[in-house]
Amino acid sequence: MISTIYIEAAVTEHPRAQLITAKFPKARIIECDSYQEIFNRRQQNFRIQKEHPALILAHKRGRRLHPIPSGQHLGAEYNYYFSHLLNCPFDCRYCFLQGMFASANYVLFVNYEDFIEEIKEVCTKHTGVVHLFSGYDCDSLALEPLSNFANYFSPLVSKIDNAMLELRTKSTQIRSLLTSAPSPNIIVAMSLAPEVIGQDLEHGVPSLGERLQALRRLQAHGFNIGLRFDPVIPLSNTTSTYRKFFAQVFAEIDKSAVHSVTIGGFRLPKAFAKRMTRLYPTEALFAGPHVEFDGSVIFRGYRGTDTVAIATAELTRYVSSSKIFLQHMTT
Amino acid sequence: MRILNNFIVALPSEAAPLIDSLELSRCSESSKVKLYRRDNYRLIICGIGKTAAAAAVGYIAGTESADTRHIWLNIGIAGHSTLAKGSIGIAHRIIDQATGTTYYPAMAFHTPCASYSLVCHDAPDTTYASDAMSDMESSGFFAAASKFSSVEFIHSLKIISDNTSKDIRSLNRTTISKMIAAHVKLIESFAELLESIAVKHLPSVKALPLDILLARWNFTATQQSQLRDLARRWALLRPEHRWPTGEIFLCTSSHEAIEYLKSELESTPIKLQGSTTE
Repeated sequence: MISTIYIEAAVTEHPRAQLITAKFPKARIIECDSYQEIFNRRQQNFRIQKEHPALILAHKRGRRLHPIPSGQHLGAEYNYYFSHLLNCPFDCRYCFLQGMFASANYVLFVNYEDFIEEIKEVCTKHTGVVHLFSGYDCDSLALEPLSNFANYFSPLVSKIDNAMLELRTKSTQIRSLLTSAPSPNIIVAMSLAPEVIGQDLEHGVPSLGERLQALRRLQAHGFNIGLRFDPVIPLSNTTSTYRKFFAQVFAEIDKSAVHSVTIGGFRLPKAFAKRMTRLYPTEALFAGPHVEFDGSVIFRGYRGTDTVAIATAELTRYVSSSKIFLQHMTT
Repeated sequence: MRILNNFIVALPSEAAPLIDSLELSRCSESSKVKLYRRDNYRLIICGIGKTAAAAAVGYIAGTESADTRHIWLNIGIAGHSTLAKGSIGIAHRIIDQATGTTYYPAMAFHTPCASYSLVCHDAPDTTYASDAMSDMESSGFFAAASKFSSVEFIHSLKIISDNTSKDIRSLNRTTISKMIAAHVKLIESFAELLESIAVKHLPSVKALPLDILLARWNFTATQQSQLRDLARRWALLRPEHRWPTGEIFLCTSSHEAIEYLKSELESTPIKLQGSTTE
């Protein structure tokens, strides 16, 4: 439950901001000039705030769409990400947001209309398919009852012929999607991991079974679904764990109707890894075997085992290689 | 790791109830600073004004060891246009009236009382112009304390002493002490709450002894830093293994010793609760 809402003075009268604040009648409302005064300052503790995050309502200024980092695409020529929301209600120990952001508070940019305008501009500029990723800095659906993000964006993006919007999530907040007409321009991409990893490292996240059930319902409703196996956490028993895991996943869903699958290793920019280790100095995950390469820390199997290759080999038993996209570098 | 609860208080009459309740004793080390202490509690009577409050924060931080985790509480009286005399509020925003600088204490917990904005003035203010509490210490206190602690651990708790219908001139030492005393238990339990958050979320790392290795080889400053990190990882990944192992003493240099430790850790699986990771 949100008990503190910071609101930029510029959006206090914004209808979306008013709608959201009305959902929390007991919350203290604190006005600020810029979300960055609270979100970007030094000397705050992400880990502590994660237990009791505040909501910050803000106006997104400047560019709203950004080219994606290299090696993160699904095969399209044009790829952009945007963030209507910063941070996520789940607490995954491997999540890079812990290292990227100083604060665990949620920042929700309420000027959705500006995002849509920029999406239209970018899609008009390109003749080919434009992939739009909405879940880089947040979970696209986890705060849907609060943000109404998918409910607002999906029908509008669906009208843009060459746009393909990925809603990446670990949540089961799919009600708004199930009550709307499925669109070929929308991919609901679910991040999944073996149960043992979910239990130990994905705090507050719906179980694997619940996520698979959500995918099944979305498939039955006619949505494109994507599967995201990223990051692969190095396991000593990678082969057997991922064999069992993929068998479980593909027993539940229609593999012939999967739009795309991504897989990638557990890697972090060096600065993020350092901050995350400082936040969780007793977390064994960050103490494991790793190499530093080109500004990144790449966690790998012991004695250099390429656990991503092992997991990918298992994956190809179910999905054609043409649908599998390896994310970023692995060693 | 030691956690200190620090109280920064402007007036003796504001401090007296806290000193009594916490059973603090005057520290004799410095006659010029009114510092009181017991166990992991510190209290300074800093005098009026934001500069005095900032100096008090600096004094405590400077006299404690660098690895101390500090909780900072600024306790005192404040004015407000409408709030009832004797009521208590916690600041969720502190505005320095002179500079316009705004500070936001992080409310990462269920607050012990209602929260308000707090305007810090350079001189006593009885205009009660804004819908905010007003005091004379909070901005200096917050600015200084945020050099030493994260913003979750820096808070101002104010007891309303005057408003548009209760004149500030009617206050005296006795009435001020009584007003503070009425909220001492709340203040103490709030300090305990912050301390429990610090204990939970600022864990100390098990330090493995390095002396025997440092005595054996000459480590550069960089290598000592690497060694400390390897020892931290060793404690997490190989808790059941002897530290340091006998094999390390076959190494002929500090460089070899570090490479040996790295190699051992590279071949050690991480243990998750439900499985084993490499």
